[in-house]
Amino acid sequence: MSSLLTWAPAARTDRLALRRFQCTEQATKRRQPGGGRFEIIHPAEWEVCVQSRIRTAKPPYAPPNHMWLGKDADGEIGAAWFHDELDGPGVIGVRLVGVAEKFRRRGGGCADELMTTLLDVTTERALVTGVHLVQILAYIDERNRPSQQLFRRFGFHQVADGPESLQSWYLELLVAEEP
Amino acid sequence: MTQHFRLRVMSAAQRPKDALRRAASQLEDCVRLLEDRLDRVHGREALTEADEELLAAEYDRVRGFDRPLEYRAKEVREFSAPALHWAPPSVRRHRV
Repeated sequence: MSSLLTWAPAARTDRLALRRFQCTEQATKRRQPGGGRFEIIHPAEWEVCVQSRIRTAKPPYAPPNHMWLGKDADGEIGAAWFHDELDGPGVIGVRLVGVAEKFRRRGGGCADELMTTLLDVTTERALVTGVHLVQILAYIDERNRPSQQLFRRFGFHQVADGPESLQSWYLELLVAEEP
Repeated sequence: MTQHFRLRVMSAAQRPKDALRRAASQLEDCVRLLEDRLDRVHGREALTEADEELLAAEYDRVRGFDRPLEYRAKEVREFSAPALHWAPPSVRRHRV
């Protein structure tokens, strides 16, 4: 399979490019009466939150945190993910998955590549550290159908509702026979 | 002669495209202007870097990413092997 992006762990030099990362259309805010909090005006506000989280990331990260970026031929960030090892490489929490707007709505090619690489990276690390089973948990907004479909394609299944408007999606990845 | 003719045909074919492109770009400018005006009328503002920091912190808080790793690992384990036959948390507590 040919790769759309080149994948590597995020480095300090990527910070500037991350600040410009755009995975959704421009959002605006409206101050709520009485000051204080503001309301986001956007058709998919969870995308704005993911984008903000990616933009404010401060690589490089060392285990248990991992952030990987996929860059196109021009060195532009096309996709990013962040996961952490909750109890060594056997228990993984996926914190962030984002595909740049430029690469979206193309039949999921980039997103599929991201997930494949994520699972490859976790499998490789599990094999190196002698872990035979990797448990992976991800939170997806209940309105975020494309992400739900993506995770379902890769064998995840929904195991719980909440917190708030999020769903918990879980995968058990058997990387080797139990010794 | 042929070359000259081909150039003429090409430029003729190009012209409507250029006109369309120009019109599209003018329309985009108009839409942007209208959106700005609407934003001002409705009291909308662009998100700042500080807002993005706030949103990022909120993102982590809602998902519990600010909690200790051990606690989150325990949570993931709750979904392990027996949970292949998933049951709501209340039922799962009784099973244990």
